[in-house]
Amino acid sequence: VPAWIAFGALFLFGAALYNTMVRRRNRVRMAAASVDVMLKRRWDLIPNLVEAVKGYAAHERAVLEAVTAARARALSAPLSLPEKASLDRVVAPGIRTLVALAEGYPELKASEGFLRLQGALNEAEEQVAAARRAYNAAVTSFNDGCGTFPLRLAAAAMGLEPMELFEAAPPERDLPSGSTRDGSAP
Amino acid sequence: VKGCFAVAAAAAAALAAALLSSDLDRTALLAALAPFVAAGAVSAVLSSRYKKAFKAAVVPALLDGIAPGLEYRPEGYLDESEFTGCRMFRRPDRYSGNDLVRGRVGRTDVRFSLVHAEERQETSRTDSDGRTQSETTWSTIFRGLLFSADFNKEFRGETRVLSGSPGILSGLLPGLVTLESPEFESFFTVRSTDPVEARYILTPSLMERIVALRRKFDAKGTCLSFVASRVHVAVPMGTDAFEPSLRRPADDPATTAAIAETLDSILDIVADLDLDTRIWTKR
Repeated sequence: VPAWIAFGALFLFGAALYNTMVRRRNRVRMAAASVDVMLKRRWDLIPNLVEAVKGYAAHERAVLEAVTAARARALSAPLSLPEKASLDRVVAPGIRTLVALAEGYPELKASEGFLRLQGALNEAEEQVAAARRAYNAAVTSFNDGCGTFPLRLAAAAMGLEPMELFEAAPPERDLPSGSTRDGSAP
Repeated sequence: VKGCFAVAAAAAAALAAALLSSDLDRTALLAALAPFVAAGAVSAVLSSRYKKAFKAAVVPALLDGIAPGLEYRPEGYLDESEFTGCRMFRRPDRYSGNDLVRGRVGRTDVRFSLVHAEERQETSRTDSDGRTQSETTWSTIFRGLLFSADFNKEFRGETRVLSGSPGILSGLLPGLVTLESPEFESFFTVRSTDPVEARYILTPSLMERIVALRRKFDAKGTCLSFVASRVHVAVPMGTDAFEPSLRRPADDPATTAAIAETLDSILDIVADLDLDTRIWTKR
C-alpha cells in the first residue's frame, strides 16, 4: 500500500474520531443550555409561590427562607451547572413542601390563582426532568466516548475529561394531590 | 342473504348439469353462470345493507354504555389530512375508512376510525411479442385503527414513537432519541424534532403505559405520534372490527360482546395513557 494512501486513511480516521467527540461535546453543551432555561423557568415561579403561601407558611418559615435564598443565590452570580444542580436539590423539595401546604387550607387549594400556579410548577418540574434526562443522555454518550477505544484517543488528544451527570433532587415523600404522578424526579 | 345462497346453489346445480351434458356449448355455460353472478351481486348488496343497519343500531347503544355523548358515523372516517398529518405514514394514493367515533371521554377530546391507506405501484412487463403492458397494484401502507386524542401537555415539535427497536443504522437519520427504558426501546424507536420535548412528553411513566398499550393490543406495528398537542395511536387491525358475522344471528350476544370489547379497549386508551389527568397548564 503506498504510504500516502495509508497516511490519508489514517488522517480520515483521526478526523472522524475528532469530529465525533466535538459533536458529542456540543450536544452536552446544548443540553446544558436547555437545563439552564428550564431551571430558570422554575426559579422564576418561586416569588409567586412565596406570595401565594406566605400567609399559611408559619410552620414552614425555614423552607420558605431556604427556597428564597437559593433562588437569590442562583440569580446573583453566574453558576456552573453542578452548582445549579446542587441549588435545585434544595429548591425542588422546598417547592413541593410549600405546594403541599395547600392540603391543609381548602380556601388556598380551591383558589384559581393557586391552581394555575400549581399547574405551572408541575409543568416546570416535568420540563426540568426532561431537560435533565436529555443532558444525562448527552453526557453518557460523551463519557462513553472518553472511556472507550478508539474515541478515547481523540478525547485524550483534545484534553477532554468525563463529565458529571445531573443528579435529581431526592424523591418526593408525601405527594400532594394534583402534583406530578409521573414518577419522574425533577 | 340466505335466499342468495339458495339461488347460488340452484345455479351450481344448473352448472353441474350443463357440464355433464354432452352438448355443452358456450351459451349454456353463460346461462349457468349468470345466476351465480346475480346471486353474488345481490348477496353483496344485502350483506352491506345488513351490516350498515346492524352498526347503526348496535354501535351507538354500546358507545352510550361505555362513554355517553360520543357521536358515531358508520361511514365516516378520519380525514386523509389527519392520517398524513400524524407523521407516522407516507402520503397514500388511495384512502378510505369507516366507523368514525368522536366526542369527549372525560375532559379529553377524542376521535378515531378504522382506515385503510394504500399506495399505487406501477409495474410494467414485456410479453413475448415485445409489447409492454403496465399493471397497477395497490399495496397497503396501513390498515387498522387510527386514534387521535387531545394530549394533556402543550408541545410544539413532533415526536414519533415508531414500531421496532432502533437498529445499528437508526442513528444515521436525524432526530433519533435514545431513552432510558430498555423495555420501551425493545418495542419502539423514537424520533423527534426536539429531544428535550420528547422527554417532556415521554416521561418514564408514559413509557411504561405505552409498553402496556402495545401489549394490550398485541399488534405488531403499533405506533404513536405526538403532533400539534395531540397524540395519535395507530393499531393495525382489520377495517371490519365493528361488523357482525353473517354466520351468526343479529341478536347473538357473542357478536355484540366482541364489538363492545373492541370499543372499550379503544376508548380505554384515554385511561391507558392517563390523558384525562390535567395537572399541567393545559386544561
